[in-house]
Formats: sequence, C-alpha cells, structure tokens
Amino acid sequence: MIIKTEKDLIKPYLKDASNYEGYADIVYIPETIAEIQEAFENCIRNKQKVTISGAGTGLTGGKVPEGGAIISMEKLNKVVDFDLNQKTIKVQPGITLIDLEKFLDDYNLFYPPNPTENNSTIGGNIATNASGSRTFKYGATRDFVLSLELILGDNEKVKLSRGEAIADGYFLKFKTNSGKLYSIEFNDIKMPYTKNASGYYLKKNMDAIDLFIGSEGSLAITTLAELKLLDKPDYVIGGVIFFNDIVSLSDFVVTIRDLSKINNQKHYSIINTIAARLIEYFDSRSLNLLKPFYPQIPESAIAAIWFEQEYIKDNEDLILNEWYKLIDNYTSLTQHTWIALSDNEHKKLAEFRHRLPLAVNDIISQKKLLKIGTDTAVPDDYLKDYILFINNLLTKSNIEYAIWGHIGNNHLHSNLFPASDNDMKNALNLYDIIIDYSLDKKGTVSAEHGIGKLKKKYFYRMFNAESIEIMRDIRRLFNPDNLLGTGNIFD
Amino acid sequence: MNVLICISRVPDTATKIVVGSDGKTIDNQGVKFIINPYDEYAIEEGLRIKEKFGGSVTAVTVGSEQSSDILRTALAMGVEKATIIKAPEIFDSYFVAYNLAEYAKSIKPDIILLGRQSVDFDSFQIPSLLAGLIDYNLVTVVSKLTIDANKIICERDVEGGKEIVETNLPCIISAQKGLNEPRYPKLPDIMKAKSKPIEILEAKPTDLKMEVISMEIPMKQRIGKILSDSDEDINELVRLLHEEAKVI
Repeated sequence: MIIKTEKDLIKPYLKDASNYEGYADIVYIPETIAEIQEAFENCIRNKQKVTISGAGTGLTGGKVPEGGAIISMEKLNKVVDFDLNQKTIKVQPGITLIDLEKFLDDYNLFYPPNPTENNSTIGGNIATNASGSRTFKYGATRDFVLSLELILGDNEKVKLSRGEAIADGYFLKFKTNSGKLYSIEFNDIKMPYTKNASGYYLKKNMDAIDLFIGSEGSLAITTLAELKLLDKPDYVIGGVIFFNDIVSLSDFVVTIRDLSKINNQKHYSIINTIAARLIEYFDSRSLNLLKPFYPQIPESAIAAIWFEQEYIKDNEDLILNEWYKLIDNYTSLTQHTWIALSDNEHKKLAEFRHRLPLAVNDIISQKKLLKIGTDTAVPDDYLKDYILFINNLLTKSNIEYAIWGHIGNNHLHSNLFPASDNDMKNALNLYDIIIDYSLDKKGTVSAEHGIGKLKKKYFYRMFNAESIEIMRDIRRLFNPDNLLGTGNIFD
Repeated sequence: MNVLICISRVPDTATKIVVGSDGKTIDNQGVKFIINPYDEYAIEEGLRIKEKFGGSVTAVTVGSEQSSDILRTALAMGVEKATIIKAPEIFDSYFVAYNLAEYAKSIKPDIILLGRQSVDFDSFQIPSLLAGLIDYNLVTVVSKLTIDANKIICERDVEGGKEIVETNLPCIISAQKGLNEPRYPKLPDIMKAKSKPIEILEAKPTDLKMEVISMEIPMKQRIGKILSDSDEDINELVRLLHEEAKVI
C-alpha cells in the first residue's frame, strides 16, 4: 500500500470538480481489499476521520476531506469476475466508466446508466446513485447494482445481494459476515417523485442494498460491486432538433417523454414508433457557446433537443417517419434536424454534447468567472412549467448562464457564471428561488450530483426534522463515531 | 462544373472485425457498414463546388447492391444522382479503378473527388490508377482546395509544413481529413433520399491483378512479462532477451 503524508503529495486529493478544497493528514492508496481494511482499522484506532476518494469528478465536495485520512481507490480498478452468459460483472470500486465500457465493447454489452463524466469511478457512482442521459429509459446506478461487498463504518463486513434482505414494511434487518444483526425501523419518509440523489433511500419494503447506494460514503466503504449489463442494441437513431419557440419545445418534450415511457415498456425490437432512450436539452445560451464549433446550428434556433432511440434495421423507415411527422408538428426548423444513424455519426453528436462543458470551462477561465450549477428535478406534471419558469427567471437576470440537462427526467442544470461578488449574491439568490420552486413541486434539490458538503443547506429544506433524525440514527448505527464520510449529506 | 464523387462502403470504424471461414475475407455477420470516412470529405467538397459554381454532383460506387445504403446517405447530403456499378464477390483495386474510369468516360466530369484511401484495405491505389486510366491531372491527399477560374490550387500536408500544388481541369482530387467539415444529413433530406432512384450498372470484368492469399487479425496486445529486481529475475531477463526475443 502506498501511503502519502507530504503536503505536496496530498494536495491533489483535496479537491473535486466543484473546486471546493479540504484538508487531510494522510492518504492511503490500498491495492487489495485487505489493505483497505488495514487502512480503515488504522483510522478507527487513531479515531481519525476517513474520506473515501474516487476520481474526484463529483460536484458537491463528497470526496473532499474535512481532516484526517483519505483512502483513495485509484489502484483498485480491476474487473474481478465477468459472466458473459448471465451478463454480470464484478468490479473493484476504482474502475472508471470509460474502462468498463472499453472492457464491455469486446462482448457487445453495455452498462446503461451512462453518466456524462466517463472518468468517474463505479465506487463514486454508487456513492451518489449517479445517473446520466440513458437514465431516462434505464434508470440510475441503483437499478444496475446486483450486489455489494461493504465494510461498514463500525468495521463489520457484509455482502448484500439484491433480493436477499427486504424490509418488512418499514422494518429492515440484515446480518453481517460475523453474524452481527442490524435492525432499522423507519417511518414513511416523503421521497420526491423524481430521480433522486438527496439523502438515504428509505422506502416501504425496500431492499437493504438500496440504503447503501447513494449514501455518499457515510455508511460504508464499497469494496466490490456486481453490476447488471445489457446487450448493445442493434441500431440507434440519434437526432438534434432545433426550435425557435420555447413553448413548442416544452410541448414537444412532454409529448415524446410520455409516448416513450409507454412504448419503452416493450422490447425495442418490436417498436416501430417513437420510443426515445434519452432526451436532452440545450438552451439558447448553450447553443451560442457551441456555435463557434458548429456553424451549422441554425441562426434562428433558441433551443435544441437531442434524442436517441434503439431499433432494428427493418423498422428504420417507420420510426424515422414517425419522428419526422411529430417534429414537423412542433417546430418550423424541421429541415435543420440532424440525424445520426451510424456509430460514426453518433460519435459526432456525442461530441456535440461533450463540447458544452468544455466550452463553459473555456469561457469561465477566459473571463475569470465563477460557476454554480443547480441539479433540481420536478415530477412529470410540472415539466413544461419548470422549463418556462427557469428560462424566464434567468433571462431576466444580468448574470451569464447556460441551461442544459436531462429534460426527459424533468431534470435541468442551470449553470450560472457570476463575474463579481455582487453577481455571486444574485446568483445564489436565483439558486434559492430554483430550489424553492422544485421543493414546492415536490421535486428534489439534487437529482444526480448528491448533497456532499456543498448542498447540505438545501437538504435541510427538503426533509423535515423528523426524517433527518431518522437518517441521523441510521448513520449512528453503522458509523457510530461518525468517522466515515464526515460532513457528507448532513452534520 | 460537373463533379463525380467515387465512394466506398467500409465496415464502421467501431465494428469488431472477424475473418471469414475462408481465411481470406471479412465475415460480414453483424458488421455495420458506412461511407468511407475520407469519402465524406470528398462529398462535402463536391457539394460546395456545386453550390459555388453550379453544375451537378454524381456519386458512384463499385460494389454489391447493398451499397445503396451509403448512396442514400450521399443523396441525403445533397448529391443528385447515385450509381452502383455491380461487382462480383471477389475483385481488386484495378477492377474498381477500371470500372470507375469507364463510368467517368461516359459522363465526362470536370472534377473527380474521392477519399485519399478507403479505411478497409488501405491500398491507396484508386486515385492513381484512375488518373492513369483516364489521363486526368491528379493531386492526392489534399487538405485545402481552392478553385479560381480554371486554376485548381491544392494544399497538401507534408512533414513539418504545407505544400501548395497548382493544376487545372479536368482533374482528380483525393481528400485528406481537414479538407472541410462534412455536413450532417438532415431529417427531411434523409426521408427524400429514401425514395430517390439509384442506378445500377453491370461492371465490365477485368483480370485479377492482385489476389488475397490470407487475412488475419493483428495481435492485439504485446504479451508482457513483469520481473522483479531480484538477482534471479535479472538472470531470467537476460535469458529471455537472448533466447525468446533474440535481441541480445
């Protein structure tokens, strides 16, 4: 095991992609599960705080330490077992999504959730219940985790397999490898009717494994994860549709979202109509950021939708026709709709999407701006209202911004780029208004990034005191001295 | 200005290639095919020439009737006429060039555009063979093209710099990456292209000048051995370098 204690060597471990910086005394880099154990036991013995570190691609400071030790999973990045027939894979927590994808490519399989940041690690994805563009059809990380091997905060070891420890109503119990029994009683906590990465997962008749997925490193250390895989689809249509009117765009998105939700219940091989697997949004500011690289973006476009759909070749004409008819009903820019049918063309559309955060980073560093980003989602009924609300709100402000996100999941990122302290004050105020709006609609304050250390304020507004106390009791049960993941989700 | 674009149907660059049971051909099972990526630059350049100077743009390919899929993409991008010259199962570069030449002689284009190479067999032969057969001027691997009256100015990437070449019509230009940014096919054009006719011509046979004897997938990874710094392993390293790698 590599151990780092010099300041200069520790420094790179102190930040995540939010730029929030913490401090620590020591970094352990274990190369085996036994070494994770050893490092963790050291920390327990010294009553030292422990923060688990993945790739550092998070946006809420979840991996940023508040003192003590860091256990970095960077060397635990291997595929441990792979079952081609069952389509399952066992991986160590430090494997990145891009490495997992490369491994699976050879077998024509894929891991569906697809968070945009493919340098993130599976361990980090599990900690935040990460989601991505394809979550619209397939669900988030949670839906693809079959089993977890964990070291709990009190140093007990447990393997949880989906289906083996199910709560009886609001009463959940399971035993660790050593035979220690944990039982948890909880109430009906109001979880949002959206995808969610805020707080512990607590639902009637829940599976014990789900408590640990999305617990942001505050209950246990993931040492091994078994994931469910799917066969790659035969063919995929991708398209970018341009709009010159935001109301029409909103109506269009609601229509294709609802159609796709129904049609996606069938296997794609028998679908010959609209059934998107992802629906993503770019606002006019996003398009402006992309125009220097993509002069083909029509001048009059004020927003765009990117979609993908899986299909078999025989149905290509029928499906394209359905999209054509529908698109033509909602936009006068139909003739500009880009379509990708080959893998090569898909790569170009994916580049279009990936170029956006890069363009944002360029402008931020050029103009020396800051960045804050929302991660809120609302229930299905409010999507149109949500799109119009956010666009109206931000258009009226004097702060630079860009909105994009997973609109099929009613989930948008409003990215604000304040240029001054005063701007920053206004931006935080806008942020609060967006949070209030989402909470009022029974949505979530964080749909995919997690609470970490930066969004606790909003977490406290999302759940009532009683619910937070239940979560606190759960943390005390598994993590009695609160040494593990200190400062994440709630204090 | 009448433009002819010669395109080729190649396996998608992301496809996993498997050698067929005869050991000489690619197993087409499950393989997706696309327009040769270098040919996309040729198509885009052809369309731009037409948009600037008028005239017509025709795309032609030598291959099976299945090649209609890539011609539909070319039609969707804006090509007006598409032709397949139907080839037998086994053919070589000379066959392709000869048939392209015969076709070119029949429509007498001012300029012929094609990719610098096709990414399936990478033989680099067609532009030169074609130029020889129809006696057109030829500039290969062009990364910038300017047409000024009858003068054709081409930029070529060379080691550490650029080479500027001037020629005149009629000529053949083979396209390099960076020549332009090919347009995305648009939905209405894709739909329209589906119903456009594709002309199918019988190829004229030629004798094979090249034959594939065998085909194999290159070794994917070097097989590495990791040795420690013990004396024993150092002796082993010397032995391996001497006996297995035969480099010392």
